[in-house]
Amino acid sequence: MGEKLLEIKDLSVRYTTDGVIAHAVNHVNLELDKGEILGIVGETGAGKTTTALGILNLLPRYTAQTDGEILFNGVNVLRASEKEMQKIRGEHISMIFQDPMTSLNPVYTVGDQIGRVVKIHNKEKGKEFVEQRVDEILNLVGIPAERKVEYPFNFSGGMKQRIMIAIALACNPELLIADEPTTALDVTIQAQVISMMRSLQRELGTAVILITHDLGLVANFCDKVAVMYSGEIIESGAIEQIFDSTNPHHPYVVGLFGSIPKITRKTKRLTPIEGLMPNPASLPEGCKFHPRCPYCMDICKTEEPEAVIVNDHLIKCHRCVRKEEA
Amino acid sequence: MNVQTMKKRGQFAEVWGRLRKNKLAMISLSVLLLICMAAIFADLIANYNNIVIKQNGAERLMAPCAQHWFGTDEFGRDIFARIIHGARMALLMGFGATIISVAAGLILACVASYFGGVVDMVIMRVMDVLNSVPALVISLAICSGLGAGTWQLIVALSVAGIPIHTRMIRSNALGVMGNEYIEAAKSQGASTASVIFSHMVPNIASIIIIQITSTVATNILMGATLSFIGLGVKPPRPEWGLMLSSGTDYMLKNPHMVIFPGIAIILTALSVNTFGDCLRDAFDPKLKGKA
Repeated sequence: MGEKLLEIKDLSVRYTTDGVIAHAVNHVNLELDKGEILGIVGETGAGKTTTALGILNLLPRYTAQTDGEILFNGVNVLRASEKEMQKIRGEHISMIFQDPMTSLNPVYTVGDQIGRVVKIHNKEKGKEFVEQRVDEILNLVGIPAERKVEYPFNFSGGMKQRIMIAIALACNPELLIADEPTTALDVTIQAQVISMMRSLQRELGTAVILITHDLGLVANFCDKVAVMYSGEIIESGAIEQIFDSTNPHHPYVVGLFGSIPKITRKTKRLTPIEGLMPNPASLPEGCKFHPRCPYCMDICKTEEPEAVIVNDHLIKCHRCVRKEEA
Repeated sequence: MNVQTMKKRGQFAEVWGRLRKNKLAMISLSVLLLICMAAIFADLIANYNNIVIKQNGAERLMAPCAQHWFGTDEFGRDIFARIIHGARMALLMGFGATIISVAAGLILACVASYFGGVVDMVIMRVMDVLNSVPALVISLAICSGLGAGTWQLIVALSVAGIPIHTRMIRSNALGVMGNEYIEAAKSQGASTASVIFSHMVPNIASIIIIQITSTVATNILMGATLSFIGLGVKPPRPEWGLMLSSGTDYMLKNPHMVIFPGIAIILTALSVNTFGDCLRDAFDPKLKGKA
C-alpha cells in the first residue's frame, strides 16, 4: 500500500500510582499507511485507549512513563514538545471519544466548538472562513448548518457523536483515532455513524484507528486488525486473515470468536473465555494469556512467546512457534 | 412556559427568572442596590470635606432630629452623612477584597487542578498552611505588618480569603477536569490557557459567583472588625467599624452613635448573605434546603 503514516515501535506504557506499577502497554509494534483503517480490539483494560492517547501524547503527565517510539510522519510524538503537539493535535491527528454525552462542552454552542478547532489551526484566516467551514463540515455529517447556534443538550446522542466527528474532521486530519465511537449509541444509530464515517473516510482519504469491542464492526469497517491482550498485540494482520477460521489463530482470538453467538445455531448459553484478564500491576510470567488458555503448555508458564508470521499474519503464541519449527 | 422557550434562553436568563420569583431575593437585592446607590451618589448627598470630616463643636453629640437624621458624633459630624460615605468603604472592602481573592484563588485552583502532581501539591500545601491559621489572625498580622490604612486592609482581607477560595474552586475544577470535553479540547490542539480559561472556567462559573457573594459579607464584617480595633481604615475617614469603635465611649448616653453604624453593618451583611443564598438556589435548584 501507500506511504507510511504512523509507526509504533516497541511502545511500553507504565502507570505508577502509590508505588504500584501497572504495565498498561507492553512492547507494542504497529504500522499504519495513509488512508488505511486499522481496528484495535480487546477487552476492557487491554491497553487500547492508552495506546491511542500515547499517539496524541496525552497520557497523564505524572503517572505515565513511556518507552519506545511513536513516529507520526517521522516525528516521534512521545518526545515532541507541548507546542509542537498542540499543532499536531486536531490538525494532523484528531480523536473521537467514547462518550459523546460528555465530550462536548455544555457551555458553548456546537458551532462555536467546531469553529474553535478551525480557528486554532487557521489563525491567519478570518471569521468568514471559519463560519463557512463550520457550515460545510456540519452539512458533511448530516446536520443542518442552521443548528450550529444550539447547545449540546439540544442534540441526541447520535447527533452529538456526529458533531464530535465533525470536530475531529474539521481540519482534514491525516489520522483519525476513534475510541469506541459507537459504544454509547444504540444499534441503529451505530449503523448510521459508522456508514457516515466510512463514506467520509473514502471521501477525505483519512487513515483511521478504530478502537472497539465489536468484532462485527471491525469486519465491516477495517482493512487491518490488531488484537490486544494485557497490553500486548497478540495477533494482527489483514482483516481477511484474522476472520478466516481456517487459519491458525491465537487461542484468545479463537475464544473471542467462539463467544459470539451464531444466528444460525441454537445456543442455550454463551461460551465466554473462562477467567479474567490479569491485573496489569502483577502480570503472569511467560505468556500473559496462559492462566486462561485451554492449550496451556509448560513452556507457556515460563517463556514469553515470540511473535511469528503465520499465513501472512502475526501471532504471538508458543503453539504457532512449534508448528513453524515442525 | 413551554420547553422550547426554556431551551432557547441561556443559563443566566434562567437563573434570573428563578430569582425574580423569589421574594427574599428581590428584597435583599433592592436593599443591596440601595446601599450601592448610596455609595455611588454619596458626594451628591453630603459633601465629604464640609460635612463628613469637618468637625463642628457647636453640634456635637446631638440626638437624631430633622436636621441630622441619625444625630451627630462627638465631633459634631452628621452620622447619616458618614454612614452614606462609609458605604463606599464597606463595598470597596467587601467587593474589592473578595474579587481580588477569588481571582487569585481561581488562578491557583485552575493551575493546581490542570497540572496536578507536584504543582498541585505545592499550591495546596501552601494553602493548607495559610488555612491552618484563622483568617482574622492572618489579616491582623498583615495589617499590623503593613500598617493601618485602606489599601493595606484590602490586601489583608484578600490574602486571608485566598486559601478558602482556592480549596473550594479546586475541588470543583477537578470535577470539571475529569470530563471528556477537557480531554477532547486538548486532543483538538487547544493551548493550556485556552483549556483553562475557555473550557474550565465557564463550567465553574456558578461556583465562582456563589463564592463571591458568600465572601462579600464576611469581608465587610472583617474589615469593620479590623477598623474597630484600630488596624484598618484610619480616622477621620468614615468607616462603620471605626464609627462603632469611637461610639463605644459615648454609648450609654448617646446610643445613636453605635446603633446606626451597627444597623448599617447588619443590613449590608444580611442582604448580601441572603442574596447569595438565593443566588445559589437559583443556580442549582436541586441544592435548595441543603447545606
